Amino acid sequence: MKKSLMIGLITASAFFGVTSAQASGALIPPEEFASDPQIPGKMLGDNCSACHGTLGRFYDESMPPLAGIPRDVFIKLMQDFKNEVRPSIVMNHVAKVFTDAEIERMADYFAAQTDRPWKEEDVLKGGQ
Amino acid sequence: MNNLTRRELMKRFGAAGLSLGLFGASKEAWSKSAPHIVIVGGGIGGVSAAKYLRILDKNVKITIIEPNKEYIFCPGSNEVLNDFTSIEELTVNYENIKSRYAVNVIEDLATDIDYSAKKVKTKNSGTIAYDKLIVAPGPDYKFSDIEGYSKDLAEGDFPHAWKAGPQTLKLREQIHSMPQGGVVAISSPPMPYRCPPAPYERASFISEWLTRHNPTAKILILDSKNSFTFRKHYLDYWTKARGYGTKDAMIEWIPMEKGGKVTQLDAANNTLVTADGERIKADVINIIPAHTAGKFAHATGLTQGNEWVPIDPMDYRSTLDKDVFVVGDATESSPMVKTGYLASNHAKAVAQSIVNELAGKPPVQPLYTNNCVALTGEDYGMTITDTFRVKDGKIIKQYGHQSTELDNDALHHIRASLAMNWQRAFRRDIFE
Ligand SMILES: Cc1cc2nc3c(=O)[nH]c(=O)nc-3n(C[C@H](O)[C@H](O)[C@H](O)COP(=O)(O)OP(=O)(O)OC[C@H]3O[C@@H](n4cnc5c(N)ncnc54)[C@H](O)[C@@H]3O)c2cc1C
Repeated sequence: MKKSLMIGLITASAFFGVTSAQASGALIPPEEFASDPQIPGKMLGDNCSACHGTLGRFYDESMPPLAGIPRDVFIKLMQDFKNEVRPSIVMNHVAKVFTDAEIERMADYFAAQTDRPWKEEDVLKGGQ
Repeated sequence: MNNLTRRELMKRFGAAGLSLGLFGASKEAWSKSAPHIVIVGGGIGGVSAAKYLRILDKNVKITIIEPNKEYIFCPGSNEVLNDFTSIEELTVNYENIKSRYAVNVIEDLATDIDYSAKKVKTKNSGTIAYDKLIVAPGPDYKFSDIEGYSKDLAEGDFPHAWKAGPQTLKLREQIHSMPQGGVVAISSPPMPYRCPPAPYERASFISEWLTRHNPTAKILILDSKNSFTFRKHYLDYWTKARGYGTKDAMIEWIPMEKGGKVTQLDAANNTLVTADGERIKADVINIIPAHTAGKFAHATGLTQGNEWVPIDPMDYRSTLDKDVFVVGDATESSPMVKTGYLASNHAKAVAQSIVNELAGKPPVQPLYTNNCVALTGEDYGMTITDTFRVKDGKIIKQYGHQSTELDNDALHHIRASLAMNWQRAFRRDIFE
């Protein structure tokens, strides 16, 4: 009851668009979504591409690349961002929405990507 | 297509430029049985869909219908007004999408959909059959909400510049040639419209140029809302840098409740008329009109009588037809705002859904983030981090955070360079 009311409120405030600013900070804990159908690692990880590059494969002035990052390192980083142990301007707010299992699936996804610049990829041949 | 080498594809689709005839050639290139995914609109949503589809599936045939030879990114286009960047910097073409991703690009306007025959009609290239159709036409502008305003005036002396291109350059020229002490009036639209902080970002960049070249000029923001995204940041910056709130203020913001809503343009007298009947004469008038879904979405019935296209947020499938998907600004996606960041993420969910469906696999649970940036100046950036999940067919905003710190120059600076970085990385994520 309480939960659905909260969701209702957030949606309603966002309906008026501008007032969604006031909803700033209201986090629905990721655990509340833990029993939903699983979001695959690729679906989760491809949300990162606008900053970290396609498949996490930009190696330049963009944010750090994610392709090929060892699973453990990714998990440690994301958990530290999520728990605000490692302060960051954006990543604390990015990381706190994910369940532990989702972080692990993203870790698997990025660990499996070729750690070479995307611009060198022969897209049509494949060979990810 | 499996057997085609990259070089062969380059020969067919590459440098020389793909003409309409290639649609025939593509039949040779791809086996006739390959599913055909047709995309209407080669903007952020449409091109993201094509690229991410190709990454997932080497075997489908992909066609984009887009009337323009080039795409000019809106993110960053306010910075053209003070020469902080240029239109060239924001312009991309479709060569990469054609050659690297083997996407057929037809330079034409889509005009209609025959849902039962599964065909798209075009203005000059006949009809094109699809197995799945993705529609990403962006928004259209409701000129008639402001009496006396029109598309013709927008393309003439009263540019809205809410689609980056010639109108952006026209507005720039008008600001740069304004008499000393002149007035720029910006009419900011009611929600929903694309990139909610952008009118205020625009005012900020104009003020940056005026401070250097026309320091006694004024910017008047006449708002059809009572508040706006990042208001705290903008008011803070305008107070510190532009005398906001004093008699020498360069920027003045008039919310709707104080009479800011513009209802009429008297073009002959360069005058705006507000809902209260007040007449405001200005040297440069920039009306950002209210938005609705792109014409194509209305003309094809996809909007089903609404302003925006109803979709199933699981995979942005139209609720009208199961083989049609709609992404980006044209969709009814509240509580999401309309941004390129989200348009590209809608498109990724569509790509995954189509590939799964073709392979007979179940659909995938989506997640949509909007981790966007905005600027007040070269040295002052802001960030927004929104996450949306889908539950019981509804979009739920799991989290929405906007940067709040005011008195921290170092943070503002880092956020500004983050924002500039993001613009470049984002352009490449869609088109490289
Ligand atoms: C000033 C400004 C600043 C912005 N800044 C940001 C930002 O910092 N971050 C961000 O994420 N977003 C930003 N945006 C918003 C972003 O540009 C849009 O949300 C995004 O472009 C939406 O993508 P889309 O694919 O829906 O539409 P568009 O990118 O507009 O693409 C639509 C395409 O469809 C084509 N088309 C239309 N009708 C037809 C037809 N009948 N047949 C064929 N083709 C057709 C058009 O020619 C166009 O190329 C900004 C917008 C503005 C105006």
